[in-house]
Amino acid sequence: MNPKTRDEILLYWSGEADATQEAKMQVLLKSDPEVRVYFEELGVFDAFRGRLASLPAMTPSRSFAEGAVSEILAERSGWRGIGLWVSVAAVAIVILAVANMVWPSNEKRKKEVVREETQEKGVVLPEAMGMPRLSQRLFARERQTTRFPKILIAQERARKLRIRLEKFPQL
Amino acid sequence: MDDSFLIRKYCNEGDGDAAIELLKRYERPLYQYIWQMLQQQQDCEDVMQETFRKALRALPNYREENHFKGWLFRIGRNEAIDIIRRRRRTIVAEAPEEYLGGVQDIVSLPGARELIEERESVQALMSAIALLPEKEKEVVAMRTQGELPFKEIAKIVGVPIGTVLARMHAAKKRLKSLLNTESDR
Repeated sequence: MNPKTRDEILLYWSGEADATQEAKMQVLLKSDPEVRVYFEELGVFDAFRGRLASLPAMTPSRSFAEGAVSEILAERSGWRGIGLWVSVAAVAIVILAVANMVWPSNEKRKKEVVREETQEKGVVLPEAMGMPRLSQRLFARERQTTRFPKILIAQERARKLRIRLEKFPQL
Repeated sequence: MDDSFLIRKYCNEGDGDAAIELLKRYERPLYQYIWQMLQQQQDCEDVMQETFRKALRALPNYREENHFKGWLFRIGRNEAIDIIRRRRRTIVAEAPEEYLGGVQDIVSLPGARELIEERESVQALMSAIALLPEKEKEVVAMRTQGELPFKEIAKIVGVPIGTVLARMHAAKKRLKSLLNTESDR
């Protein structure tokens, strides 16, 4: 028997043969004893399947499907819980940041009230009182050119003094 | 309900019952295939558990429509191969009494002689299959226990269908010779 016919018998036995192969097999099974014997021998596997399926060892002792599904669902809900807390925390942080930007702090509001009250009473405050705090001035990101003329004048004086000192002959 | 529907229900709605129904459809053939490969209950149960776990974790990324059974068997096969490698190709088969059941249970039954003969023939068949080379045994187990078509087996194993058919033919020939030798004793 050639390998092609042998393969076709296997496919026919397995129920995978196409219409042409099926028609060919039906003819061969009637006419060719070798093909018939080969096909009948394959029946051993069918009987084998039935016999093995009835063995005690072939019956699972428990349901693996249920165990695995409950385990994975518990795992998933655990992650979902963590994800929920993380998203709640992120939303809270965003809300606090926005609130801080929108509403001025108590301190700012107090200053505003003091300024309004003093202006109403006609009191003239010294220039320094209207300036930002020293820490704010020192660590300010933008150049405070118009706000701090005294600092600029002092810086200019220091620069000129440094140039003079450099020109002064070494003793 | 087809497999795709159950997969969608599990992935989109987190429906555990759908996943259980899906896996239960293939639990028994997969178990029998793996048992045939490993012939050891504890290893077989470990492989089953791990296969289902991996399948459920990977299910949201599953894209092979109508090939769920083959996909599940591929995961199971990889797990079983890992165990076989760990054993360093030593088959730790269970004693026949463990998988066939005790003789004392049969002796008291009517038709005990036939049952014992049947038991012996199953045992001979099991021993013959255990002696097959891994690649042939795998094809036999997938076709008989797993009830998978040869085309699907070719996909799972990753070889052309001609190779699968050649392995089946070789296994059949070898089993025939092994069983004839056994009956001649």
